[in-house]
Amino acid sequence: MCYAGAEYCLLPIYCMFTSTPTIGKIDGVIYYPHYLEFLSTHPIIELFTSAQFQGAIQDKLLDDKALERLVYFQK
Amino acid sequence: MGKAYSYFNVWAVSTIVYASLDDIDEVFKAIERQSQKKDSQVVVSLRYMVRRECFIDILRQRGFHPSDVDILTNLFILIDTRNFNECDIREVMVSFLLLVTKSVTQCFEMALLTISRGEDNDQYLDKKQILRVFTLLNDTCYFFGDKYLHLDQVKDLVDSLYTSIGTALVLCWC
Repeated sequence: MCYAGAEYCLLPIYCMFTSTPTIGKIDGVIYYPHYLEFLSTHPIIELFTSAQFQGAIQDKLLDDKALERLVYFQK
Repeated sequence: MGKAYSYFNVWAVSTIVYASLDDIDEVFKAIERQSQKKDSQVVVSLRYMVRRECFIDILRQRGFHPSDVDILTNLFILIDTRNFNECDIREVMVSFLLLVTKSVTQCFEMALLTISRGEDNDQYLDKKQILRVFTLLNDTCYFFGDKYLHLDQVKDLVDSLYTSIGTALVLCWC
């Protein structure tokens, strides 16, 4: 189609193939109590709750200098 | 969040929260009772759509600590992005559950239970609702200053939940 000059869109084709493994369940309802263990041990959740990803809490807190900088920029 | 997650800002905030899961349940019951009254000002359009002033009134009536009321009011404003001064109270409570629950599993369980509250199919959720729950939890972590997941990662999480179910992969390879 592209060779013949017609417009084509790669995204719908990609979506079509990636949705193939989810046939029949893409819009359905699920009984979530069966999947709580799966969700809480999911690699993305493991990553999110890891100390390596989150970093130390001291780094997240604003010290006096950081607060001064923020106030300066707000002015 | 429990002690194991002490590197979360959410955990730090949860140490100063007084409310418990029972208190949240009491708030829902109060809203449900008020929504049944015909002349109620609490519920505007849908069952759990509550105006901010009414929400604060209910919290004070239920004996919530002033600091908890402040946190819940901030979460209300966080979710009411269109500034309509009303929002689905279930979404506020899902965000607040991060501060009340003790573990990740309990947080997910209570969050999914809360979002399915009042629905016909109890404990059955569709993809949009599950995505909403995880987006809310992610946004709440960001609100409290923790690192957050990108929306693509949240979508991947929910997608993988669906692809893990049934024999869909067999259909793919046949």
